[in-house]
Amino acid sequence: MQQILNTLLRYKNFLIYISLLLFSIFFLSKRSFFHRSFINQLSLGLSGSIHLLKERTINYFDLIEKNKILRTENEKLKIYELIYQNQLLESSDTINFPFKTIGTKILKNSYTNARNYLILDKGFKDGIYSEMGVISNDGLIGIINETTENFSSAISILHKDIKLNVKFKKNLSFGSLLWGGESPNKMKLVDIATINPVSIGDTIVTGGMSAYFPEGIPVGRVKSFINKPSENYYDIDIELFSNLTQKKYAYIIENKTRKEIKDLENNE
Amino acid sequence: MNKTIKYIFQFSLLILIQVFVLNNINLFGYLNPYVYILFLISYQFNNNLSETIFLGFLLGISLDLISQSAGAHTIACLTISFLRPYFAILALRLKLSELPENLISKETRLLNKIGFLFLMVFIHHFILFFIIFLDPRSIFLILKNTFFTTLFSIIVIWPILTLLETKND
Repeated sequence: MQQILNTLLRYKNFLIYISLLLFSIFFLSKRSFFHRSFINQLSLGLSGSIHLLKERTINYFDLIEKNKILRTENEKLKIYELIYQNQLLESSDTINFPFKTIGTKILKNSYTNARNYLILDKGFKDGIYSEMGVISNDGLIGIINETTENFSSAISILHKDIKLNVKFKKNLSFGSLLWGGESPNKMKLVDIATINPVSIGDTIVTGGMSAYFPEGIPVGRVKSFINKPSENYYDIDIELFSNLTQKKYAYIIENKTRKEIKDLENNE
Repeated sequence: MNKTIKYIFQFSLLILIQVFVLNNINLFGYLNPYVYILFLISYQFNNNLSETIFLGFLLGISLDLISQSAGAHTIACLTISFLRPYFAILALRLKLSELPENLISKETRLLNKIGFLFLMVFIHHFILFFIIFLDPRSIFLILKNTFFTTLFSIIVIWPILTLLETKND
């Protein structure tokens, strides 16, 4: 004990310097947006590399399981491919499908906080920029937030401040999907007017009103709903199809028309 | 006690002059001398480095708060106040225990004094501009700014230092 104290006293000045320096950096990041984003990028790069190292070591041991998942997913994709090709024969419009996918690995995934983030192993070197959508094999994952050269961070859909545009598969009535923070497979659907019929088990798909995700990706099904007579909107609980706590791979979606849409929105 | 009052007076005067006069010079559009670090240059060496570090921090953060800058002065001042004894050792070629209480006096050789002054000003300015730009690609701009501002600052600081020296004697 005495020795620890002595060592502390010996390096007293250095410790004072370091703690004041940390405070100054905190002070700097609070006052200037430019410096804050620089510090964020630095920390993202650092934690990205650390998680990549961890991934590389762990990766090897569950290859069999992953192969199985990939095979089933490929089977599913093959069917879609066939449908797609079939449509191509009928009409030439579908050639202009504006979305492109980029496969990526999830280095870090969180789902226990009120605002969850993911780290992915693709960065602006691979053509990733902020506000691109991220999906998995069976549902939505999030939206890209910041990118460095080799990594990017994404806001998870399990984030208290995010609202997703979704609709009912059967009757196209639009609403917003948000996360209350309870469990990683439960979300709330709001803004569905009571003039639309709703029943338990109805499928919810993405709405396509935002430039992040293409229309029609299955998101979840209605688990329960409340129709208060005094209000004009339903209170609907959604159960997600996708288990966000077990995701290893994701697809980043590039919307080739996003710039045009953005420009239009800005012109309004 | 007398000394404390003197330092408090110096501290506040230098900050006020820096914020209200020197920060508005903008020679050739971008050059401002940073004379307020004169406080850290002329401050006594009294074997109490923690006190100096706190004073350096206080000096920088006061300037940042008053002049509405982000926080670069705090980090630069804090760092040179921590490194000050090492600069003195380097410039005067003495051991830490042999440093005189007051560097700015007739007893210090001119060359040593200039060396100490240059180290303090140059390192301070380099850290300052490095944090303001914070971009490895603008390293030439950072060095250019550092070099010319150091020159300007030393030109302004030197006469004041000489004045202080004659007063001390």
